[in-house]
Amino acid sequence: MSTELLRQAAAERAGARSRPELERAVDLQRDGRSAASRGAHAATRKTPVLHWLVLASFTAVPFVAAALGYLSLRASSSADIGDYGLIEALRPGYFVALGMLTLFFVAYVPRARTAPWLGALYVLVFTGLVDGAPVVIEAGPRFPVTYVHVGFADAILRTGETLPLLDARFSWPGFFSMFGYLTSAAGLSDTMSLAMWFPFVAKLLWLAAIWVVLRWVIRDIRACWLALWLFELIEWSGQYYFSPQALGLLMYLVLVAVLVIAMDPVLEPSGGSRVAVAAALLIYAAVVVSHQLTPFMVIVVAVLLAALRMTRARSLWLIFGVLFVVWFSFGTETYWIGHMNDLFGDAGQVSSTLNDNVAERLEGNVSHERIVYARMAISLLAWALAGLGVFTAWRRHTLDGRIIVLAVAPLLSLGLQSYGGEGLIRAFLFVLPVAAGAAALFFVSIERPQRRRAGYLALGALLVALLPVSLIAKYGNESFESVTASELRTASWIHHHVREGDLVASIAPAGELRSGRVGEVDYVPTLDEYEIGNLPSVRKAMRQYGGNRYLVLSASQYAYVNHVSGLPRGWQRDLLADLDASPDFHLVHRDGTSVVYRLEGAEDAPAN
Amino acid sequence: MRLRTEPIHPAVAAALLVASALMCWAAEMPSGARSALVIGYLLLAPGYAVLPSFGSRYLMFHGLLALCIGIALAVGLSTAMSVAGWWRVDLAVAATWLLVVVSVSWRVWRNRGAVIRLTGRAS
Repeated sequence: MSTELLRQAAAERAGARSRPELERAVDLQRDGRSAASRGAHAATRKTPVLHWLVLASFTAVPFVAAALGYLSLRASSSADIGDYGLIEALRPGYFVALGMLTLFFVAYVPRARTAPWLGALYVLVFTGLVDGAPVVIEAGPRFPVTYVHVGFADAILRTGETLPLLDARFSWPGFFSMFGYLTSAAGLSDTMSLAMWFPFVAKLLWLAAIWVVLRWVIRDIRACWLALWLFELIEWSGQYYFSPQALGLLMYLVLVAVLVIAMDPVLEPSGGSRVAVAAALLIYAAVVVSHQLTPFMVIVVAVLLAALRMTRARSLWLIFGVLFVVWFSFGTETYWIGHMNDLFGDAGQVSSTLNDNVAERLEGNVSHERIVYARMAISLLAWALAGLGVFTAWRRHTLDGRIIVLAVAPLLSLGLQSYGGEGLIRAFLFVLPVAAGAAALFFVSIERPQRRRAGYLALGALLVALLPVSLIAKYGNESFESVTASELRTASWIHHHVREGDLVASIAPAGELRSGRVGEVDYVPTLDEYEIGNLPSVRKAMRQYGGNRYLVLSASQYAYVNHVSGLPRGWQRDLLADLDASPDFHLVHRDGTSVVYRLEGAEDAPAN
Repeated sequence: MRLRTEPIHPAVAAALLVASALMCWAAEMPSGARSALVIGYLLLAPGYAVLPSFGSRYLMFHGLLALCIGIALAVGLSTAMSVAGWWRVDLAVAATWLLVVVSVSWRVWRNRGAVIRLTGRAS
């Protein structure tokens, strides 16, 4: 039977209506046969010895790159982190390792069908080298907010209840409660050890979930591996840290997988589909109680897929909506009373949302602005390549419409709220898996041999050229997004010395201080007060609190104010001089660049 | 084409039952082993215990779905406890353990023919 006849027969059996559906039906039918026949063809093209030699060399490269990269990272020092972040601390050997790995990966992509699982090794090593760099070089988990979330989980572990009056995030306590629960069940003393491992596990699970979705909607294994590589290269938001949104993206991708795989219109209704939908409801319920934004994303995707008949789960979005409304009405009452404007005031205000998300980020010193521009450039490049991929597939009548839906749906949620100026970053993160898939399609779908060779050469050059841009976009703010050893020791000193009801103030936000005693001690950043009236304003703000009052300063805070607020480098010298000359601020602790002052005297003590 | 459901594989059932047995001695284990066992069990075992297999083609999809079921169960139990102010971790772990053991036992019983064939072949 000819190929065309086979296609028609498969399409008729599956009830496929369009070309992508037809392709999918045929793929499903021939999948088992094709893997075996491809292997046989590959074996006959080359002699077995040559075949194994090529395979061995492609297998060896990731191990060599991993060893070279790791040794280079061990030779790097966090003291060298500068205005452009971690890239200034990295040794040349690290770049050689990444470059070598990238070039061999590009050479591997066209051969991916003969050794499909070798791609996993490349992606794993690349992810390990890129995401592992700050782990090897820095003292603790990056992002101060990681420590805030550890503090929240520990607060639930300690008190056995949520604290919604203390912080809005406690109105969506699922993530923090779960880690409090796991910590307690595992007999650990605090959540920090889980928070350290969390980013690696989250990133690997993201990649696995992206693979599952793309393997179904794109199918071409070369495009799937390349998409994972592009995702890792371009994803600069760093949202895989210990956070509800990291878990949210994983669950979002799994829910998308249920909608597009288990409920694919090409498949007949079955017990498996029903079980998958039941599981999706349970998973969505967990998303609703864990994160504010992810439920919106899921609902929008479910609505669009249902409206365009790209899933058999046509009314699932309605149940999702009910679950969301129920939790929002009863579970988050403490938050939404008085915050309605924060939640829905941005609805339809697209220009204000863009201003919050883009313009307000272009503030601070010159290097900070350049880092933001690097992020914008790499994001726009990703979307441009994705557009080319979509256009190419459309021209060849092989475009699966679900790619468009999955790329557009997260952006629509931006119309509802700016999410405190972070909505665009989150939307970018949720779009990127499928955008990377579309971009990969562009490169692997070149058909003419000569153009294909040129295409892969261009791809290799592009990926190597993007490495430094990616490292700046990812780790450019490391001077204040990393936490130093002295800051961790100082935070520990604070947790041991403060009493219930005391105040711990900082100038810039210092998340590591909030990794313990949450709910017992007041933690307050005073950057606004400092910018208005220097030390007297900070003192005045601190005097509004009772108990002992501590002011903590550290290198990350100095860098934050320099980068984000744009105060000149070394701005802290005046502040430290004022503190030393002050009669009521006394230095009580010093560890490296971290210092702790205690504000003495009654509330009405004179201010100098 | 359909997403078919398959009975629990005897090897998976055996692994879940062994892990459930080990959970009874988790408190006696060294810290690292205990953490790995308990966290792995609470997040993975419920999903694999209740979710029917979809076949080898959907192995990774099934694994992710199983993991997310475990996460959802842990989120649900812990959120309910923390919102209610009734923090009973030992009871939540026991409930999860019971769910796994009962589900696996029930599914093994329904698939006893395959188990008998497997053990018969081994002996």
